[in-house]
Amino acid sequence: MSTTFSTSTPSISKPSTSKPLAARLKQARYYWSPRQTFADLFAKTWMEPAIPFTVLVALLLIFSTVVPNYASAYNASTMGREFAEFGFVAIAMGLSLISGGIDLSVGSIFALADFIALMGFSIWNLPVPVVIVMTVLAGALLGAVNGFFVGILRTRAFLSTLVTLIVYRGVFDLLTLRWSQDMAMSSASSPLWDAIGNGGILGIPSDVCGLVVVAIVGHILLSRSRLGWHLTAVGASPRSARHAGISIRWVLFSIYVISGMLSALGAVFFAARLASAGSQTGDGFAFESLAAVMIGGVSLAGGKGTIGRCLIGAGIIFVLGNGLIQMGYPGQVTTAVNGAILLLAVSIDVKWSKNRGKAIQKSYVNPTYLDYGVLPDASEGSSSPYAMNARLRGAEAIGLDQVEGPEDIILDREGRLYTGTRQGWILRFSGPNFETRELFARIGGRPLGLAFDKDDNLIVCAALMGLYGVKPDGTVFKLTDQTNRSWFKLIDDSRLKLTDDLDIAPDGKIYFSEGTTRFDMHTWPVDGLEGRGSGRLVCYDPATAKTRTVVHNVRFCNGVCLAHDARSILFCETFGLRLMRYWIEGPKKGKTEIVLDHLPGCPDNINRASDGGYWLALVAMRTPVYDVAMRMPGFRMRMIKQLPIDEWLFPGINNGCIVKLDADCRPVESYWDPGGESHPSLTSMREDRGYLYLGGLENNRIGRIKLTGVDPTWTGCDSYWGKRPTAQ
Amino acid sequence: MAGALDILKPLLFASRPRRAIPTLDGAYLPNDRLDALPVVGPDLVRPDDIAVGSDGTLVVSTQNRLLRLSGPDLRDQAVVAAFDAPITALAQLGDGRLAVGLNGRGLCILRPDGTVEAALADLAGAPLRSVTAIAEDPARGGVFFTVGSVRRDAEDWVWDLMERNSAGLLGYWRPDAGRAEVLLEGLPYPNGLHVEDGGGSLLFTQSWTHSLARHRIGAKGPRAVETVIDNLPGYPARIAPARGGGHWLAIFAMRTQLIELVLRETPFRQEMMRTVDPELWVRPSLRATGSYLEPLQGGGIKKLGIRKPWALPRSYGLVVRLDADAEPVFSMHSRVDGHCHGITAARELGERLIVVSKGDGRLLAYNLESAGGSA
Repeated sequence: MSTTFSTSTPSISKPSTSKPLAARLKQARYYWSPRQTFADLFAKTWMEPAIPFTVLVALLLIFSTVVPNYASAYNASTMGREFAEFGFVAIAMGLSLISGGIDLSVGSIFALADFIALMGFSIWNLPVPVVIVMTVLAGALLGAVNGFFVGILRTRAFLSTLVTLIVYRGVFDLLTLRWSQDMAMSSASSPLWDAIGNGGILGIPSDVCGLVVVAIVGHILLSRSRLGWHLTAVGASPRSARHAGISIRWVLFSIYVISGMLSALGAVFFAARLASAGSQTGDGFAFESLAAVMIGGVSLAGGKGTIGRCLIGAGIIFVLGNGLIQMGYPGQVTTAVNGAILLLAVSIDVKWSKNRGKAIQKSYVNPTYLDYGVLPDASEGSSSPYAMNARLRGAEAIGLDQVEGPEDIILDREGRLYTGTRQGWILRFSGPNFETRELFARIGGRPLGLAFDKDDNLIVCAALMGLYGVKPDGTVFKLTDQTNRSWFKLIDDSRLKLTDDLDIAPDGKIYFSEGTTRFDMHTWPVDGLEGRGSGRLVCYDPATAKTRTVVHNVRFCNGVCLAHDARSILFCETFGLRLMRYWIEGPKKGKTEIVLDHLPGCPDNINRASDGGYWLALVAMRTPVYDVAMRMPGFRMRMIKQLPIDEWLFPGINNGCIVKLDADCRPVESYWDPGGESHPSLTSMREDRGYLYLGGLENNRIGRIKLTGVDPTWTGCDSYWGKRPTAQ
Repeated sequence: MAGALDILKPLLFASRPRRAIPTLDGAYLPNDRLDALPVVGPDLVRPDDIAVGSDGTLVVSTQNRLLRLSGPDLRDQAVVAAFDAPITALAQLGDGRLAVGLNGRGLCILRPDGTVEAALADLAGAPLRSVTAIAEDPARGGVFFTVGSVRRDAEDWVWDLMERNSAGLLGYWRPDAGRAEVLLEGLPYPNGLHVEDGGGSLLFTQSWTHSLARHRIGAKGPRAVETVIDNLPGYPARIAPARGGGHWLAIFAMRTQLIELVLRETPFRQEMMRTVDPELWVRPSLRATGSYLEPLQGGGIKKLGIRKPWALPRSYGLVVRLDADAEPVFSMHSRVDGHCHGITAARELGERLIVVSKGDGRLLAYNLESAGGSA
């Protein structure tokens, strides 16, 4: 590199002189992000029917104000009774749609089943339970015909059910012609039959109760049973389902049988209520139920939909049609409106399912206002403890081009050097000049934090995996991969994502950091641009095998270090530019406090030094322009939206800087590699036997420099677990 | 209003080409040719412009001094003149005289012995603070010149860019007749000039619109400026004739999407200008210093010890050969990891093309005989 860093560092940004009130207002404005709530909400599958549900509520409110006596208990009961019959049919239609097909014959099956129920009750005078069972079985049989064609023969669902629609309707017309007179003359009666038709439980119409039971059972079956999952799989992609070993024929056959049974069940309630088999029975149900489930958000493409959505859609269609009739419009208007709604639903279905993911993605990152304050003067030759120098320039290289991204490094009792790499490996360097390179363990996730426990197990924070351990013989074992879920968060954050660094308390408890719960290994700097902070400090207790979060909302929780007195945990807040302390002992136990803030860069790992102080690595330096951008969330937002990630402003990662802190965490001096000639993105350092070892997130080497005036026998393992005679 | 139009235009005219930054492809395909060129001449501090002397020597401006270079590798130097302000433009006139632009001062004509013959400080009330290029009028004897901006000195060009000024002008001066006139004004930083058709028309670069334009003397109204190239990938500087027809165009810095964004983001730009040292702005630069305080973009992060040559350039080196139809046919680059950035001028001297890297303070020589320079 011929690039030379300027020896006269340009002057540093002046602090913003804008009014504090304006700044405070800006901060308040960006504190909450409705957009992020939107993104989180719409990432939830249960939010998908949100729009149809709102429409349903709105319709009910509108009709309540327009139609007199609409919002009365009597009207509710009457409407509920009519709605429930339609509800069964809508569920039947919905299921066939989820399976990737369609059942147009629901209306005809409904009509035929109505006839059979009346026949059984009025003409043959069968007991009511027998009538019900017989009708439902008849529905199953009629559905089985569809199932045979669509499922077994694999004919097109649309054509097959269109044919059965016509055939069943024809049979129904013939039969009613012959029997309707006799049915009307029948004097058969039964209290149970009347209860089904006009009674109810606690004032709730009986068919509504029936629908609720069917809906709950159906929902559980669809979302939690084998058949439900198979059904969704077949609907989403028949080929993949087949490759996964699902019997498509059987699943489809059963779904049309179930569809027939549901239509028939609706017909039983209809028969009991009206006791007539008019030629209009079930007419237009196919069309109405299709419109209903589509507007509810069941996709025509298959594989997407729930019972709830079917019912919400059915509610809209029913309330609209019923309301218009109550307002005195003729039925044709209702049909036309339904048609229009169907068109709307189809277009929304196409656009929404295509763009939902994009909408969520576009609104995922929401920068906030962050004033980093005065940038400390770190110019060369200044009296600042951060003053730039070139003390790391002469660092000796270990494993040059044999290691990719040694984010953290550690030395064991024998002086062997361990590091994690971007391949998800743990490498071990040994020998007098560390020329022996061994693959010690394969973790899988990217190892970001390393620490030895008292039994010489290497405990590892593996990004996107969790907390793992490696025994001295190289066997990998898992400690934990989840913590308690945060309250008041829409997104389930119990799964550990970007686990970053750890340290172990004398009682064996492992305190580890999770940088962010919102971004991953490739997008972690985005968390800095957002500036909100979703990181946390987590504690794993091996005694109980329980994991719980102890500190929330950290702006990228990074390096973790047990203080020398073992009474507190120091942790770095990378994008908060500060060092924090979490007390684990003493009067302030459980409290968090700021130890050192307004750092000139983003702190990464922190580790013990032999003199009772600490070493702190700054992975990136603040740049004056980055500071300005952090005060302008709107600018960052547009930058993120309009530019590709390679064009975004980042803090100065191409630099190496380590700060030495004293026992009270005050900065004493620093070690620089300006411009990152050999150690850019310096993330970690360990002191061991008089040397300081250096690791970097994106680097191709480990470095070490000889320290002067330090205890040449001091090692990290001894400092934590006491001296132990090494096995000879 | 303009903001609303910017949003509406791509929606209304989806198929209309946008002024996106052109990708470096075709004739612009990146290479390391500039870095491979031999360095000629002595060590120079911020050389800016060159002119070919009547005797085949090279005149180069370096800060306040004007040097005459000669010898096989232009190693021999002689001071022609020294001023109290940096030289911002240079031209050799037919009779051995030189025309020089001075930062914040204006324009002057030097006798062959280096003494000032005539000087012009302002034109129609506008101070000539940033004369960026000068060319002799072969027909009438005077000089044509470009002024980058009447609001800023040439050394403060980055302020002019970030203030989004369009305050440059094209002028004509004939000292012997005592005549000076403005040909065109309100131009977006004209930064290079070449006289065509024996003085009938002027070809000039406009840095802030990344364009090359032509002005026919006497043309008025909307047809006064004819755009020749409207969307260069970088900010053009001087333009010089090439043998075999066409021109050599020096590009002093590249455009990046972040800079274009910052130019659109007025509150951010103003806050940046108010609080941050200009050296540390998001801006095109003649030479990135590598200071940790300079803004860093995601693509510029060092990975495994390597800074990618194709990372987003804060500074860059580029010389483009245009053919007679102003189509780019050949280019020489010095990429992000290169060491010949900030090219402000390129001019033919005998069998060689001399390239001025102001950013890295050196002159480079490209042998026109050996390679495809005349292609």
